[in-house]
Amino acid sequence: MFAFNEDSERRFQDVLSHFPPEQRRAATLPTLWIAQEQHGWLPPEVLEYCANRLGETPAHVYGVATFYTMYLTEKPGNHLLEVCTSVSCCLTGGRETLRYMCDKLGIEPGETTPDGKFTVRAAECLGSCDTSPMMQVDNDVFVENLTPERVDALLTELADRPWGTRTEQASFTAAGNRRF
Amino acid sequence: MATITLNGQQVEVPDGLNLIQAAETAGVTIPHYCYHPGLPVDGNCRMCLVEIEGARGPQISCNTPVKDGMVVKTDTPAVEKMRKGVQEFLLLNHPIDCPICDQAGECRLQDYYMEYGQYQNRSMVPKVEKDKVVDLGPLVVLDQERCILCSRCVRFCESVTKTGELVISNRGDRSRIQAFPGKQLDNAYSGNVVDLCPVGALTSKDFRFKQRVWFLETAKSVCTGCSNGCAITVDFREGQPYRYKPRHNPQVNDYWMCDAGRLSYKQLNENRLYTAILGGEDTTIGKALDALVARIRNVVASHGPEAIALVGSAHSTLETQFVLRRLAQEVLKTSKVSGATLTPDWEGDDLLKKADRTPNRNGLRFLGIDHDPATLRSWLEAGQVQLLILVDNELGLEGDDTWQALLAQVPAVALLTRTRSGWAEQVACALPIANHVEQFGSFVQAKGVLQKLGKAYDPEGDSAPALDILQAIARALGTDFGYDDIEAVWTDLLKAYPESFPGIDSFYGIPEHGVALELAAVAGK
Amino acid sequence: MAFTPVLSIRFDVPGASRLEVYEAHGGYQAVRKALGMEPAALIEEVKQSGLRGRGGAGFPTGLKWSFIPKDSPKPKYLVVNADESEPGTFKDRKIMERDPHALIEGCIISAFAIGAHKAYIYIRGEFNQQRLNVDDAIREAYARGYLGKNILGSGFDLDLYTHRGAGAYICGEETGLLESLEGKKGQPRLKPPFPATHGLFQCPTVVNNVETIATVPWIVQHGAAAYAAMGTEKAKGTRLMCVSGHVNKPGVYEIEMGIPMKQFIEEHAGGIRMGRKLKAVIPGGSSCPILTADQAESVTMDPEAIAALGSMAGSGGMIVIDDQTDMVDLLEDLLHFYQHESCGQCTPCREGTDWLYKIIQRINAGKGTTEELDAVLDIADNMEGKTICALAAAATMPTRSYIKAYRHEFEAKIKRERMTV
Repeated sequence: MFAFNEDSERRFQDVLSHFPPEQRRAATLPTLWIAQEQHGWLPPEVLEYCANRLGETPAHVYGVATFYTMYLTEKPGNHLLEVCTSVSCCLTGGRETLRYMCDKLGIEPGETTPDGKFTVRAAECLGSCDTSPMMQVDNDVFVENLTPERVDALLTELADRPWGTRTEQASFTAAGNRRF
Repeated sequence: MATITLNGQQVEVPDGLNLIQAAETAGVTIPHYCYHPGLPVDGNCRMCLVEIEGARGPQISCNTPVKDGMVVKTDTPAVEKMRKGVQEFLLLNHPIDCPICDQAGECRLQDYYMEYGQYQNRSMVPKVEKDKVVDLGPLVVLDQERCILCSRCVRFCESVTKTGELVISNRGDRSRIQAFPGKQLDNAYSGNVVDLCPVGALTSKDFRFKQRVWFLETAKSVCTGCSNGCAITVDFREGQPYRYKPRHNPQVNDYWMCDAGRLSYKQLNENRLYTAILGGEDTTIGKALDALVARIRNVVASHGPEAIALVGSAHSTLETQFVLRRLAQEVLKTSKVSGATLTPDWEGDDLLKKADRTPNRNGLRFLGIDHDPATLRSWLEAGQVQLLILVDNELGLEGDDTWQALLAQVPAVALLTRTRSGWAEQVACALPIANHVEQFGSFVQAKGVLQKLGKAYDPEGDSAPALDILQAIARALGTDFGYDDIEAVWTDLLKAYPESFPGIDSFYGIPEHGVALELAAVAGK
Repeated sequence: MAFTPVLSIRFDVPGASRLEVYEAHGGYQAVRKALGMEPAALIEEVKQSGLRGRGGAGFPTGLKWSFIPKDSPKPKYLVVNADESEPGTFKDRKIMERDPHALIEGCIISAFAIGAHKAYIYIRGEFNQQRLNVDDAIREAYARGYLGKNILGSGFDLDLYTHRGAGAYICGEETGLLESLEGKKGQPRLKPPFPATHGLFQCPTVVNNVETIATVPWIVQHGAAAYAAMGTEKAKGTRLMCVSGHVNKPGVYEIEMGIPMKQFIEEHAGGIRMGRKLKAVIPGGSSCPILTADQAESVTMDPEAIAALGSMAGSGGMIVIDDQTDMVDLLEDLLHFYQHESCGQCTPCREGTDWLYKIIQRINAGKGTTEELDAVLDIADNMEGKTICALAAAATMPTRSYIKAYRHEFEAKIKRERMTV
């Protein structure tokens, strides 16, 4: 049975304090983030738990979870790799980069590798048009200014890293990110 | 009242209405899908767009309140184009299921297509595929492809039943109606979403594939599932009912009815008695009536009129109860007239369902007919009753062992009943009567609203409305009430209760939404 | 008055995200001044500056603040729109990465002006690192007494929170954002009523873009006149321009409103890369109608001049396109975006965005017909102005402009189909 661990519970209580007590529903999106960060994705059991904690119907929470692209209601691989293919990136090699990565892993965009390590998707504009081609890893870090070599290095780096390790590592800076 | 200019004509419309409602009062229909007067406004279908002078572009009528001086146009080429545009978008991904879809004949998409176009399909892209024949709940089947995402069903579950089972998941044209995975739409009012759905996305498991709606006729009536008396329509064909649907009555049930009531149409023709039974043998009505009248005369002669008890029921129409009281008081001359009905309660709720499962207990109250079971029990226990005449009262089935014992002691029991049961075959005499869709009449529901019943079709076989059989008994005993039709009964009812029906001078003059009777009148006169 | 930077002052200062660095570079002076003013005077100052919303709609900011009913018994809210999702736009990100305290100081001043005691910065879900950066800055501000109770002894309380989105462009629409902040799907609301009276939790709310709010401290510090001395008659001050696509130096550059676009592309953006020629420019985010090279090279960068050419200055996300680009292919990619992002609430957008995408996809693949190309314009007609929000128009207006300016490319792909048997 899914339940918030101590860290998640603390974060949940903090989020509730952001809103008037009669507006508990406003905590829906942050709650789903907390649940997804603990569990890795959002199966029905986890969604129902969130609904109960929020005092909302499971159907409402399901609607929210499926409306937003970053909530994963299907089990992903250990790492989610999303390459931007919108307008600016389309002009500067985004689609080709996605194709390269998919071919390398032997899957189509939207699929997960058979060994469960990677899910690759196309993403809509990630707001990084000046560093294209680029991708987002695990709903978190941007890896920018991609080249085939950088893609290869990233895949190697991530292949043996289990799900849940925070990805703010120096290697990504080396891969062409700007620090800020 | 506000004065607006609608398509060049100045019209006066009531304040506080939106444009769809206001236009309707002026005889102008503005087409719409997602708007429903019983639900919060959503404004998503965009079919009700009209032109309003001075506004920033076309406006949706459902969300625009009337304002004095507004100039509205609903019949311009621009409005026509907008409607065609919306129709085209709705049909873009809509499956051509009409040949197999229950909604055909009562489908807004079809109706508006015929009325507003556009007729040529110019799409060359494949339609979006979604799930069809989704088992949504005990009563409802969902076809996601047919759905036009008007969200009426979602809003119903959120704002009326407040159970929130349904949601629109995903976004864009991948949006689809569904319940939470693994859960069902199983609240007690789930059937209403089938009525609400403007297309064939939500269909009734009960009604599916049974009838093409253009073969059905419709009568207005009242549900008999409980004392709330939800206003309904009965759809029927050749003497067979096929479904109940709720009818709008702001005083009684708003726009809704519960699922149990909705399905109670099945009992209309269930196990019906269509012939008379005399001593366990089927016979003609004539013979049975003769026998009963003879028995009445005998009992009066040997024991006096008080040896006869006449028991009506909370299931009978007001008019039947009125005639029953007259028969007892004026013809049989017995004071033993009761309306005690033992139909067991079920659980009511705070929406529509009432615990009392009889449709017209308040009719008994209005007419001052004692319906306390204790009174009837005391008559039977005193052992004085030689002939018990029950009208539409299943005491023999609903009473417990003690009642059974008391009934067994009565020398003769005559039963006017709708149902062919073991009980009907046991009693001395059973006469077949019509149900509430086979006659005109009225019920007084729990809050005191009297609603009239429309007659759908004639009763079958030898069955007849109870009040006609009671009249026949009276006639045989020398008194002709002269009630050839329901109006005649009402002439007398109005005379007997001159204060109770202000503004009404006939049965057919009873308004669509009924008349609220003074509570004092129904509190037990 | 010569151009003087307003927003990019600290972009290249190392560690400018940290409060001490921000203060060392003049930060948190404006808030002290503002808290000593009357809120009405603050609103007037912002009005006089001519500051207009930097999210894309360009609505005068001071005017928007003045719509908040002062005598409403309901609590008031300030909501900052950091949902930056318009393709080509990445300036708010820059502020959150390099100068979060300018945003925070702007929030304090703006909230004070409108009487709000709670403010939310709604940040698109993908900007996670940026959000963490802003959270760090907020913690610093609380520790220093710039947020929380009785700020700097003024008696003014303010709580400021970030709120993470989860991937939906439509949450950049202000009522879609409010719906999302309230914990629902980000589906825009019917208007009226407007957020100024019925916003967050149906209370009076101001929703402003990150850049707009981050500009406020400078205006308070240096005065409305100083801001209004820059820019054009109708478009005062400076703005952060993003430029990407086929240029040598993509990035964020602060410019004075009204400089020539040709100058911007050549000097700031380093000109067209790979030695190619300019073909087209999307001036302010993908929702803007496209400008041909001729138009781009003759226009100045202010909203009125660009509007005169039938386009918009929009979100400031300029995308530069070279002469090797297939415009049909680009439009297909653009329409895929709108089809993916349509919230699905209302009929014309839900069905129309996908239909337009599929038609252009067919044309691009050589399977389209002339009837379909003509139908595109009629479909666009049936979408624009008929919907709950402007996403439909954001898809149709560029589509019209591509077909108008580059129809021959579309027709060529149609003719190609007819030649195969």
